[in-house]
Amino acid sequence: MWSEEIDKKLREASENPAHSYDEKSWDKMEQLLDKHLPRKRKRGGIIFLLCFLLISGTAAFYIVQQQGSAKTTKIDKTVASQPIDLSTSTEPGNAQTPGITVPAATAPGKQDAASRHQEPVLEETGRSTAAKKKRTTDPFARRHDQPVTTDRKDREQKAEAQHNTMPAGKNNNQDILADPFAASVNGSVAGHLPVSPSPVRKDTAAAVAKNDSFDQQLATKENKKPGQAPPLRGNKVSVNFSFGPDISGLGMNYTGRLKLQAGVGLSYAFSKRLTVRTGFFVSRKIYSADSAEYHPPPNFWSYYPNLKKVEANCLVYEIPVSLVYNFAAGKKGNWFASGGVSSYLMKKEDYGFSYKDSWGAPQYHHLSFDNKNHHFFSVLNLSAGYQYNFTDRLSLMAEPYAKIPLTGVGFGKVKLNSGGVLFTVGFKPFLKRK
Amino acid sequence: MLLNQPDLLSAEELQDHIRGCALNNRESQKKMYSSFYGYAMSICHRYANHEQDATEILNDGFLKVFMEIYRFKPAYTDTISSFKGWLRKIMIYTAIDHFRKNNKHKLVGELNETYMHVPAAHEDALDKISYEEIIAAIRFLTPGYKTVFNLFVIEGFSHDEIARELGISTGTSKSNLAKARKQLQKILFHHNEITHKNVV
Repeated sequence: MWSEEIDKKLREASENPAHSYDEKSWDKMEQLLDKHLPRKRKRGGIIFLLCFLLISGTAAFYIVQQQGSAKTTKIDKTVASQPIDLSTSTEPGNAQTPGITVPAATAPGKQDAASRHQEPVLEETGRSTAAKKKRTTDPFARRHDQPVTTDRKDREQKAEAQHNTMPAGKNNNQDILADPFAASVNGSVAGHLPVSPSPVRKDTAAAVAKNDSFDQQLATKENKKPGQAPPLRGNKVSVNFSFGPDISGLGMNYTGRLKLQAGVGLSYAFSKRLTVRTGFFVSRKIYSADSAEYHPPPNFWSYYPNLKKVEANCLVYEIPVSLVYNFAAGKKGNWFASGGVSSYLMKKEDYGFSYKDSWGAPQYHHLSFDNKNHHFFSVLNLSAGYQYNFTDRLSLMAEPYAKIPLTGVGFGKVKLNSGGVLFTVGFKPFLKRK
Repeated sequence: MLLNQPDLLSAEELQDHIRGCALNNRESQKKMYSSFYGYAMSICHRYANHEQDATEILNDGFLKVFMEIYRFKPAYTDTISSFKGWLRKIMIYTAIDHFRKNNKHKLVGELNETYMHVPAAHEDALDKISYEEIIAAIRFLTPGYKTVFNLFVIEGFSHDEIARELGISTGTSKSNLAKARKQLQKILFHHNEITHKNVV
């Protein structure tokens, strides 16, 4: 017959665990947990990475574009400084003096008209060749020696005066001939050289017009006041090193401790007025909160139904993105105002909970989280300050700031305000003088 | 001998890991799973026909534990014993659910009339049988007998409670229990090659 003793033995047998832990069972368990109790995925990292790449790509695009425009300017100057070769004439009669246009001998009436028609061309040719001669000898001589005139009429008058002062028997070709034997030749040439008719080439006139426009461009670009410094290149990118005191709190009643924050950053100046800044900052947020301001997961309240106070000590990585508006520059610096958003990466969170248990006895419990909470673009940054430029490369900024939360941060999703003063040393590593 | 048995948790460690599990912390969940694996598996093993079934019951039970752990409040000062009792209850009900899902119509198994009757004088023969053999013998019972036997003899459920949980009558519960005992006797003595038989 079955007895109670057998039942007792069976119960004792069941209390004796005879099964060793199996890691494969945990693998199956983990799959169940991932399905029914999934952990929050850190999708925000991808979004942040995309935003950072977008900003970096935009900055790189502008830098490349600026370098491209600088190269184009250089090419323009190089082209303008090169002598214009008019020796493209293949008309018969010009073989003796290639590239030289000689007024054609025509009927008197026609000659007058032709002369009238040709004379300005000749004058232009003479003017252009004179200018050409000057340019080939000293491209920058005019800048220093002569006041540059962009007035076409003045230049015409000068060329005409030059033409009229030439000795009789000689034509304008004398200036063109750089041949050392030209003097002996010209005398005979002037007397005996047949003047063969040669039509004015339209492309020569166009080349002259073009040359004239190049003259104007060159004059414009090189027409600077004496003593003016050459423009700077690479003036838009700045590397920043920042530090300063920071204090956080949930309001006037729960202001935390003053701590130091530090970081590095990059800034890019789109224009004189606008600059975009980003960076990476490390700070420690120490604050207190009561149960009304604390918003943890619902399960939390089962363990701490009578929460009295929370003391938090959090290591925060901050990534701000801001737009800076620069007011009118003074002698050595300028005032500015800035606005933007920051992302908080809660690297380490330490919380101390003061509460009463179900029997009313005061209790204290400590809880820590590592890399659990990330809040992207969740804090509004506002600041204003003054930038002092020691040199073209080096500057110092002082800016009081305020950080206002747009969403709750940390395990308790608290509305954490921060304030302080940031001192930033700016350095332009790519600065060059053209 | 117990092999690969993780270190047992202290009361303070258990409380910390309970809080961690309430916050869906994987490390805490794994620690709890490994620490109470042997205890929970010994319960599930008695209700399952195969090793895979036992693991399935175990994992389903732990899933319920992790989902509801934030509600756990120690009934008395001994947190570990209190938690083990709460864990045991969850595992038992998970096993019952598993049985109801897979063995709905197997509560009344076929009765082998040629059972062995062992007089009281031979009860001491049971002392020679190890714990492992006893537990293994329970697993050889038919599913219906096994469930009722486990709930009544080992878990301490009353017939009313068994009837309510399994959706049967009290009489059926008693009948299945008697049959379970007789079958268990047969298995135990047949397994250990007991030659002394007294047929009544």
